[in-house]
Amino acid sequence: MSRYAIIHPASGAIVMVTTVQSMMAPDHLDRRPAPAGVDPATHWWDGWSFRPRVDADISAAIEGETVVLDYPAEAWVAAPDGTISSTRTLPRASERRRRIVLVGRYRGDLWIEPGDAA
Amino acid sequence: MARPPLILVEAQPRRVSDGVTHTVRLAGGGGALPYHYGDVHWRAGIEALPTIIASLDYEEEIVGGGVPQATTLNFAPNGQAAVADLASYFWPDAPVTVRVGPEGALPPVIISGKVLEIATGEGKLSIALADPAADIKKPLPLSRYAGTGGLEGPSEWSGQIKRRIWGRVWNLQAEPIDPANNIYCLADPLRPLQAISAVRDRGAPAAALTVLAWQGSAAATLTALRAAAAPAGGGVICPSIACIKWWTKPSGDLNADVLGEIGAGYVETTAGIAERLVQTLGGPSFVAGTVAAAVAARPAPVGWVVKDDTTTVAAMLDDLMANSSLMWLLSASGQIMIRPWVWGASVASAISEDVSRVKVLRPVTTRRLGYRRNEAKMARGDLVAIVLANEVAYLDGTPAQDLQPAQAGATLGAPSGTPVGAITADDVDSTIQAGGGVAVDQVGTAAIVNNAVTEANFAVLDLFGAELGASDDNVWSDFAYSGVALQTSFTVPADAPDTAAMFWVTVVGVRTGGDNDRISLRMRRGDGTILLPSEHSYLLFTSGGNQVITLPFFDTAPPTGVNAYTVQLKNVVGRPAWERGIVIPIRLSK
Repeated sequence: MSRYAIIHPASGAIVMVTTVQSMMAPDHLDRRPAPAGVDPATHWWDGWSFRPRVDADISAAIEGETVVLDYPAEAWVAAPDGTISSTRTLPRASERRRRIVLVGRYRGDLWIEPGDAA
Repeated sequence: MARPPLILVEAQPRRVSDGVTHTVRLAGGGGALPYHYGDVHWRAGIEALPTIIASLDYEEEIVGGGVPQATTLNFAPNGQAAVADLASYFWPDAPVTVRVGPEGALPPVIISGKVLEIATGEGKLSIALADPAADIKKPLPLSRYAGTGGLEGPSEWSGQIKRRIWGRVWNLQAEPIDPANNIYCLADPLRPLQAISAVRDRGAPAAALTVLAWQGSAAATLTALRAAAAPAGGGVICPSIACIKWWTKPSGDLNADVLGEIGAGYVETTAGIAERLVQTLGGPSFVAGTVAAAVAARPAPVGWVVKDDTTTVAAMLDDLMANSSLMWLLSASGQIMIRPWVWGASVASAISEDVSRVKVLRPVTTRRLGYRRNEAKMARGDLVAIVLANEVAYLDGTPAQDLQPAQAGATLGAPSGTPVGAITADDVDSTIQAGGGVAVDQVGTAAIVNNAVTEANFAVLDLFGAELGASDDNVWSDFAYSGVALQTSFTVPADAPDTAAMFWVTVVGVRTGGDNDRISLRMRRGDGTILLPSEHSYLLFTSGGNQVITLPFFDTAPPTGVNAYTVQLKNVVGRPAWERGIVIPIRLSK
């Protein structure tokens, strides 16, 4: 059974794995046949092939009205609104706890609690 | 100075008056002692040593024979009277022996033969010697069919030569001696053969051969052969009269592999056959032991067919010997010697009088041996319609080879273990019911083609903690991330109206905002139909980290063709953050 991965090309994050051959990705994502045995939770797309993901540290600091993130220089993160970017700053939001997730080659996440508000 | 050798010639010409043989003894050479040897006197006058020519022809093929020949002896006595006396005899065919050697003792015979003719003139008598091999330079005497029916052949065979065969002969054409009874003859029917080992009709081997034994006489055997029933596709062989009864009129040439005449004992070696040929002719004897030595040197079986009365036995020996790299010679006493051709160190030397180069022989890349000679080389058209399977193709290019076995009824009555492709007839018998269909309990799961029963269009969506929709929006939206919805699809096979599908949907999420969140999930087919149940509602996400919720959805009657299914959710209270969504579809259809 062939499996297909839908990939965020810039970060290498595997967004979806499917066996449905006809399922096409949106324009901003790539679709590639995934080798058998590739676990989307533990792999990423490096532009040439699938590689295992590695754990990395991610931390946050409050600086005024922004949250400044610290994670590996070449890493990408997924924000709670569903965007994948390599941004280092987020606006402060005091009403909700939010989860920032490393995607692509790194694995790790960070909760920003409302209580972090300075 | 070396003394010249002594030459003694002894001949037995006949007296013209009464035909009685008279021994003539002539001498020459020497010079120290009188010509008195063997207690008789020899008359002086031989001019010189006879010239003996022993030639060995090589015409890019090995030759099988080389017989030394003496040409002419000149006798020049001291008076005319002696010449006149000798010339009065009848010389042709008179036996003559020539001895050459040192003086003092009777020299050995170096050549013996016959006189061809004599001539006189200039005070000399010239005795021309005949070819020593003249005795076997005669064709083999063969009998002929009388054409009176039965073993003498049909009337049109009158005067036809009866073939004779020795040794192993391959693919000899049989001739219709009794066409009305489909009886075919291979050789002289009055000379029993050792065996008939194979019979072929236009090259196709006989399906069956039965042997008819000797019935006491050739005529009785032929009568029995006429009455014998030939097996279908084969025949009755009767080596004792060299005949075959075929089961029907042969479609073309009927050929046989034969072990030849028994005669004084079956032989199949070159030397053995050569001995039989010479014996049949009544030719000279063989030197003691030479046949046995040649049989040991060249033991391979060969064959020989005599079918004309023009080829001389000497030519046959040449051919036969050359095929086995043997050579025949005549000894000084006129006996036949057989020697193998061997390449090794020289065993004798001679002084050359003249050496000349006549021509240059090309290197030979092949050497054609007469071993297993095919007596009847058959053209393609003479063979039964044998078409190689890879030469026949259908119009679409499929070779017949790919369609084998194509013979109708080929598996009729197939015994246990008969292969049918890669399996046996027993497998077929146990699997297929009489009248068609698969027998009970014979369908394994591996035999069900993919896509006939189930299709595993699994999908997993990673959401990396994304939140979907707005809090408390209470609006159905796709369970999607980055533009990709948690979705699957499958095909309802054509002619499979009785199809149902079940989906196991698993979502992994966590509450956000510090209070419990509630959502509803449903599944939507591409045509807008909402699957059963219409929704799993009010699903609670409480504190304590990620929660896993697995829910079933059921499509009772998906339409034929491709159907897409998408997981949808609505936020009833708050909105969770999503880690992952998984759809596992199970389709059942037939």
